[in-house]
Amino acid sequence: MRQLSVVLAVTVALLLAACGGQSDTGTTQQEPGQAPQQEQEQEQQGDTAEKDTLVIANAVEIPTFDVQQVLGIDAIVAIANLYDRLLYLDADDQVYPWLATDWEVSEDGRTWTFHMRDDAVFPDGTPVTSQAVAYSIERAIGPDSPSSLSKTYLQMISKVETPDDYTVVLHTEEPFAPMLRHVGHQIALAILNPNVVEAHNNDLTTAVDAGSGMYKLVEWKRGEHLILERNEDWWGPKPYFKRIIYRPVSDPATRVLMLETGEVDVATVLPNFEVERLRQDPNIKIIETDSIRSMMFLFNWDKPPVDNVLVRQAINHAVDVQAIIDTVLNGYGKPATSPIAPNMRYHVPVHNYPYDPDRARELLRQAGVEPGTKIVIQSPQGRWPGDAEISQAVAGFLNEVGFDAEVRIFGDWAQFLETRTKDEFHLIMTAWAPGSLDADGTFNALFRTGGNNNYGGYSSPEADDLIVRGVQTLDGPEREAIYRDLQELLNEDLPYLLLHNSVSFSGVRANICGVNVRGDDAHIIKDARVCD
Amino acid sequence: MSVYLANRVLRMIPVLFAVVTLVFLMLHMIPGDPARVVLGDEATEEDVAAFRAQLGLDQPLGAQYARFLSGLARGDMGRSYVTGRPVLLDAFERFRFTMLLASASLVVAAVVGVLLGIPAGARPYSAMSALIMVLALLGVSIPAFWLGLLLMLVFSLSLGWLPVAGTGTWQHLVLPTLTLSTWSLGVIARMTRASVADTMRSDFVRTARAKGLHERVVVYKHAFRNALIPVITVIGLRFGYMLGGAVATETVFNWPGLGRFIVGAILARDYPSVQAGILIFSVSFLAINLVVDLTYALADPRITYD
Repeated sequence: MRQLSVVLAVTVALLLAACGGQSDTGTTQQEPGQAPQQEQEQEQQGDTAEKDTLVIANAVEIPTFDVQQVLGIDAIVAIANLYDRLLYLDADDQVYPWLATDWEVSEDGRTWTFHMRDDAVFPDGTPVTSQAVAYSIERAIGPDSPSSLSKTYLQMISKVETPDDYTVVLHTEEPFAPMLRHVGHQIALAILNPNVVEAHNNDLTTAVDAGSGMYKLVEWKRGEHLILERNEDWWGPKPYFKRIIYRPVSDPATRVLMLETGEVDVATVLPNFEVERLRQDPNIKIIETDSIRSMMFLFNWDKPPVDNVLVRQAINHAVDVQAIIDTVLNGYGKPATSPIAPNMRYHVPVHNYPYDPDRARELLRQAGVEPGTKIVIQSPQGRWPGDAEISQAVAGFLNEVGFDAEVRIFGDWAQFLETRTKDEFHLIMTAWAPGSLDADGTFNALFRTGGNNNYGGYSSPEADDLIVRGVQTLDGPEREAIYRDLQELLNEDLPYLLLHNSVSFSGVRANICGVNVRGDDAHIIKDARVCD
Repeated sequence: MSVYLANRVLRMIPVLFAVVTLVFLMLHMIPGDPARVVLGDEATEEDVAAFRAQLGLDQPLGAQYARFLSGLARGDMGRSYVTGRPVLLDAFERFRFTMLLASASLVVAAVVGVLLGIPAGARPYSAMSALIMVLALLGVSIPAFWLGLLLMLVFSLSLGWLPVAGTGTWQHLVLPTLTLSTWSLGVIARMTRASVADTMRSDFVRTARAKGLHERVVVYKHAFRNALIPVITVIGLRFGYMLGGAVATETVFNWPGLGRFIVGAILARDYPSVQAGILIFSVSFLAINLVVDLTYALADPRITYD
């Protein structure tokens, strides 16, 4: 009997661990709100006439509540609902007034003045003023500030001035053309309430009511859901949905099923092989978006034989990109004509290396490359649609023109990141979508000497000069001419094997309208509503 | 008994110490920089270096290990590189979900597995026994992610009886439990059959029959109780497996369990989260072993821990 008691006691202790009370961490609550049971039942209401809750299935979990650190576009967009910003970069790639009603830039392009509206307030009643904007910038780029997404996007600001409560002046050392896009980023310049942040010891993971956004936090259970409630004191037009629920669902098949059953209203990042089947379902609408993501391989600039431009030309002629799109991507995608996507401003279709294996072989002969020359291709797996399969297809095409291609595929992203800096590859895959949706984001990262993602080591003083001039020339014909020259130069130097621009798919229940998807896969839901 | 328990608990300590040390070394040996993974592609090299310094990853390995041990002694396993939150509490929150799912799955697997295994073992060469073993083999062979999706298609999409994924209500627990229990159910059924069949050949079973006892009494009251020891062992092992090996089920059903948490932490090179998750698994596995050992004494009066 004593032994039975001990067994039962230990077993009950284990089970209590499963059924014990709610812990505080991994869970953030603003108000008690509804009990989770009621919320689940509301979620499952599906397509009722009184629908006031929008449920969105995201592909990734929100990693942190620190708005200046969060990464991953789904997570960024979810958290961004809680905050305001000066401008809004909408799904049509245009910058719109938001808290800033109008703005101007000085003649020399180094001073940006934003005039703010005066009726925005934080939840504690504090007005949203220029001082809050200055505070938010200082927190991101101050001398002791940690590395963060916000720091990356705001570090060009050299000085902030607040001549009055509703005017912000940003200074830069040099003109910075994408300033409005950086300021209008979903979260880079999320405006924080200094009182709240200080009261939480500068810890944004707990300062959850530090924003003045159109939605307020009700509950965040990491890995389960993020529940937001409409901010009835928000200055702008009232969003339709009283509640938004974001649910992280990493498995694409599960996301699709939840959309089909109506458990969610929106499902992001649908696998392309499901699209045709889902299009037959009258209860579902498919949103097809031309992504700004450009897929390519970067050449290892100093490594023979790809240090020879003839070899790089040969490789571009050797690969049938359309065939790869048709077989690996089920026909969804378009062959790239420039390192920046066609739906990005300043795109010029410069790429003139059509599929021509005979030409490829001729170029290799001219370059003196012997048949059987080894070439190493490096690729992640599971990071971008079809990444590993595309690499294998490219290897096949290269073998056909005489190379001995080896593909190194890394299923572990962290390991792939580490091998990017080693010198063992001839081609390394990258798929770049600049968070600012500006051409400079791509050129600076991939092709400037020492650029953050210039893993091929491409270096050209002429390109560097064009890249610097491009970012320092405000939008207009002059900037257009610079980027045309840059794309033509890159087309001659050919530091890449260009692949394609992808198409991304999301699903929305047929009774929901107003969900728009931007080229970087940001799902803009501020205009979402039940269809009329 | 209390001496025995105290001994067992004390013996857990060197085991756990070895586990956390091994995990620490392995994490620091595998390629991949946590700072780069956390900060993302757009961060500069200077940012990455600064973040590494902030996390203490630029220190010699010995210094990092010493700092880790001193934190562990205080019950502080540090904060997640990704979220900045205390990792033990985050991991424990996920562990609750894993325990819930594993417990429910174990009950289903043990009860159904044993109930199928006993009649199969009582008549091991019958058609019924063969059918049960085929079902058990199916249970062992079907991959969890495939079964889970199939159950979703039938019960969620076609019939609309149960939700697809997530947590919150008992209905959310049904499909993940059926999925996770299937493999263990097959193993437990097969082990029960084998153990009962073996016990049925014993002298005391012949004696019981000779005494004129009903066959059901012979099987369920006499044979089964004596066949329990290996079955308990397998049930205990299966429980430990379910706690640590439910990643596929957790992923398909979006169940926020510790398995997914650890896999995600490894991919993100979030060392403190991995450490915390594996420590919790280890403690629970050792506790389960203890329960299993104590249960032997219940099943067999000849075993005592006094």
